[in-house]
Amino acid sequence: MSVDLVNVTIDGVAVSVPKGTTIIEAAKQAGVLVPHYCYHPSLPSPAVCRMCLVEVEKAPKLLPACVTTVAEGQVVRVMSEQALKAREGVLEFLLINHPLDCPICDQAGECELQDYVFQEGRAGTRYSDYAKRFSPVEDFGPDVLYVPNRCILCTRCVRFMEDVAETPVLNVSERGDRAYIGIDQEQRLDHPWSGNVVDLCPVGSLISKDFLHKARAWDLDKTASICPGCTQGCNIMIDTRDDVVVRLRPRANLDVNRHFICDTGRADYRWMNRGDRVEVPLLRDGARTVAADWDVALDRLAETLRGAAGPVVVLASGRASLESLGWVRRLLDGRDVIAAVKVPLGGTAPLPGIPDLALRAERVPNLDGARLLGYTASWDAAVAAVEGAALVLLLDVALEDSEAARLAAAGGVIALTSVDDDRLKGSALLLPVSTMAEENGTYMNRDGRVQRFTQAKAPPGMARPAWWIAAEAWSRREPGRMAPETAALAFAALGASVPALAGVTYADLGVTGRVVSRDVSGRASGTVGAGAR
Amino acid sequence: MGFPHPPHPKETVVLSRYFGDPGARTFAGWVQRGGYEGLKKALGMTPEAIIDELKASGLRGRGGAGFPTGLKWSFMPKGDGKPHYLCCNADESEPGTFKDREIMRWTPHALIEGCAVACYAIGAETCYIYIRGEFTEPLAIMQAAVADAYANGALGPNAFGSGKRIDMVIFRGAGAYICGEETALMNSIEGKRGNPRIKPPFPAAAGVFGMPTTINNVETLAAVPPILMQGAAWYKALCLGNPKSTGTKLFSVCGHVMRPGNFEITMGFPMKDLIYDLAGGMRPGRTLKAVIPGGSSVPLMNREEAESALCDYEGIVEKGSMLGSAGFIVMDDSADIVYEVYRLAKFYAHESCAQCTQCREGTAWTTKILERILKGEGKPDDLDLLVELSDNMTGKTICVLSDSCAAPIVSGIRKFRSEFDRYLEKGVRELAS
Amino acid sequence: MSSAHGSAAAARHDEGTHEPVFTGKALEKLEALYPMFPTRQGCLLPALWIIQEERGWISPGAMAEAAQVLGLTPAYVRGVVTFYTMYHTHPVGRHFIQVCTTSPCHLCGSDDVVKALLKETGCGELGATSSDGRFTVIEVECLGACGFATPIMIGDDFIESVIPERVPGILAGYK
Repeated sequence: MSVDLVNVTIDGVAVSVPKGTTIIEAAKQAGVLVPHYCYHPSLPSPAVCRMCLVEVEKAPKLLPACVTTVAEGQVVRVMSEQALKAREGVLEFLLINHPLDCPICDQAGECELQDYVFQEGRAGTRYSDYAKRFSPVEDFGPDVLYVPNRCILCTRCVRFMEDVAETPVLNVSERGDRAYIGIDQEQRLDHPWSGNVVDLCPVGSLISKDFLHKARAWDLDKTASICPGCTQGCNIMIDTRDDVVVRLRPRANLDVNRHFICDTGRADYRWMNRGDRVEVPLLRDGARTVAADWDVALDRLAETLRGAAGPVVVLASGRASLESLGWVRRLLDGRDVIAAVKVPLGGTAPLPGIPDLALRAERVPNLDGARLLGYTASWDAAVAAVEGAALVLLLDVALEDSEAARLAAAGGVIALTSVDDDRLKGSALLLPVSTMAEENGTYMNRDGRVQRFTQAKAPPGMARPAWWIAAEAWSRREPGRMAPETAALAFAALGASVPALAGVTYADLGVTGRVVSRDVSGRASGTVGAGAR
Repeated sequence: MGFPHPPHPKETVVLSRYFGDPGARTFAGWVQRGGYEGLKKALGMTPEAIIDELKASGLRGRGGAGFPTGLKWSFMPKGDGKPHYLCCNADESEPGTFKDREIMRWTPHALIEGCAVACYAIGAETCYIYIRGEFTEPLAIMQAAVADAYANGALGPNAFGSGKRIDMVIFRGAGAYICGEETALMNSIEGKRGNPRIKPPFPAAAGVFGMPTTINNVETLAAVPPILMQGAAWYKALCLGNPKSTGTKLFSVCGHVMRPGNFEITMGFPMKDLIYDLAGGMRPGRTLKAVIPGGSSVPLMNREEAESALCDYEGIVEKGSMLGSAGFIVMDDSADIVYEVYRLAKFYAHESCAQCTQCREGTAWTTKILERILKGEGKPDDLDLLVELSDNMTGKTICVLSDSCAAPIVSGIRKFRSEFDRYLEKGVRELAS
Repeated sequence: MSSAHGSAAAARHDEGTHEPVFTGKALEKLEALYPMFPTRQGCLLPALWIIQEERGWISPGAMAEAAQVLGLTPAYVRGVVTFYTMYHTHPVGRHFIQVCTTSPCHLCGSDDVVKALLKETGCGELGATSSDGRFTVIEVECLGACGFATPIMIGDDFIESVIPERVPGILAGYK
């Protein structure tokens, strides 16, 4: 089916876009950003902020770019004198009641009002000697504060809750310049996806209590990553300040999570900052535990494997990357392996307005990847098999006390762990690993999409990625073997034993990942959200 | 409630013939006065024929926009299978305008009959008559008249035995001037905040409840039965020279005149005669200073312009203003132009729906500036600032409320600059003694 | 008549436990609305009028009840209620007086009518309820009776051509 293309010129740049495209989207293709507030690609467009008014040749008035569709031969001017004056006017009107809060406002540095005023606004105010509208801060719910004084009434938050979350819990109350965003006094903003209104708010009117006064936007390092909270695989940004994770935010991926993440995933970053870490390889010598350098530890690892005859049980964390899971399997090639990944379960929470987007019951990011790589035993069966195992290899997995107690019955335990855990003291080797926030790697989500995450902070001490440990030990088992030096090479090598990944490289995955196979777990992939948009 | 005056000899009485005649309120009374013949005739015509007749008559929307009515009805899709709706805009809230309430109070069946004809012509089975919430007497009278019409078979599943269903619902507004804007009115009927919608889509494509809808003003609809009965040519001939503005119009004259009230005159009537003759002219010892002819949302006219204008769409545009709803606000030399402009700005600020930035903030800001000028604390730049803000508020919003706020401000400053200057200089409110 | 801003302010006008409005005759009136609109949401404004006719104002509990009955959320209903100035979100005097002071009426002396009303009712200032709970007086925008200035409304009664001299006589009729 061919798509009708329309040719338009925007600020002198000619583009061809499908019929029905709005001017604001066509402008993106022309490399032109039309300033806007109320418009958002994942929300219905009300055209109320009036920032996006552009000049269209032969049209008698300026037209809103967010709702005007392109017409053949249209000539659009975003930076014309008329359009600039109109935007300057809108910005002036927005600022008259806007408080001079920048010094104390969390949004500073990532504020769209600041950005556009700096770019195109007036240098000084003409609203002299009049009182600004004032209302006290309101607590909307578990994480969201509403600062009415800063609100520009773009209504993104109201539309998100009404049309995307399908829970109209926010409204516009009153009218005229008395209008504000209201919430029914009995209701709280506790919808499982409501934290997105903070990201949607272009200014510092809706703010996160968790992030309140924590860090300045310009102090933050921002790293592209994948939420490790469930099998949905939402794309996120990890914001760190001085190597401490202070915030998670959604990263746009139109095929996975569009522009949103759930509140559960958003809040779950504190574990990335844990201080109780193992920082050096620890080897058991008789009754003593001795710290060692990696060369010694890796040699011991290879030796331990050589010396153990019988089944090996691998108990892996669902947060382990494809690289780590894959290389641990390769290390155990030719052996009798029972491999399982631990999958904590929780409730589901769909975002009804977006098809196929939900907080999933399986609260791990790489379940499908693990199954693809042969981690197919049930958790309970694997735990039961510990008793008769020659070796148990723990891949940074959180064990229950009852599960940890069984380890004594195994022939030996090799623990790759990030967190310092007393119960693992009896392990033959206790090797420090980095968490997913501290390494490069990939996950496969429930749709078979392999997505990259990148290193957001430094691992502590001598901790290394689990794939590196496994690959180095593997290379020591036979002469002539070369361990991959980077995660990219570690990933590329997986294709040799996993047909679905054959020939796939990091370059192929890009920023938004790539689907390599569906239904890898044998489950039917279903739509959780209501209807496509 | 007030009583209308007896018709002036220079009036052309069509719609206002039975104003003041309580007998016209009942179905039987209306039939006695020739009513419902128009509907009966219409039900025997094709919808296309009715629309053609209206087009030929030159009837234009009497709510303020002046859009040709026949043309508007012809926009409704044919054979689309969707329910069509008619909305009657009885949300009369434009300052200076008080004609629709008279039509509803005295000749409710004229409106019902006009709505019924319109329903038939546009293929609608349901008509919502949106009456502003404050109009308690018209609401009561209309409710009774609709029940009366149902009881007598003019409305219902089989209007006058035609086999056509025509249902009418009286919808009470709740205090929002902006609901007189056609798309805001539709949103209000749907149970939403009265926010105007972006167009396209237009009501004929997607109106109330997303269905094809036609919206007309009370006066427009009340004019339909007479046109069908007396013919398009008759209506067209009711104009004094300008073929683009035909028929009669109710002018609501108020303010500083001896005889305020509604006057029905032929289009093209001299404005001078309306003020000095029909409305009885100025109060003793007073002279005309300004006129706002179209309800308050249009530029002010000064004395020279008012005394030389003709009362029709084009004639008033020629003099720099607009006919609008013909809510005629007359100010004599005792009026404080600055105060009245301020008070109008305050009106618009109160009524803004809050969607568009320029309107929400601009109406309030201009009100504050004018208030300060009135207090004697105005700054020398304030007038230029008001004009520039008015320009930013014009032509940039979803609806024209902010343009309407700007119009009196800009024209007031331009034509009555000395009054503003006096406030800026002396800071004292002076009234001509 | 708009409410004070914020949920805290709304809570000031606490009605205690909300007794359902839509019972008996009121429920009949509500159900009579359903066939007139293709959606339940379309019944909202008329439903709010029923509530105000029954109770004199629309409390948070009543908003929640309207929401529940029509398949909407309380927040949504509140957004609609606060848009329209004729819905009261807190109790008002037994006789609610609205005076038009927009320009056409101002030209005809509405200021004096306001002064007379405030004096005669004992309210003293706009928006305040008289100490005997009888009256509240507010200014409103154009009431659409400009040729019969100054119009006032007392409850649902629309009274035109009010001049200060008539005020005591008019008020005497409202106990």
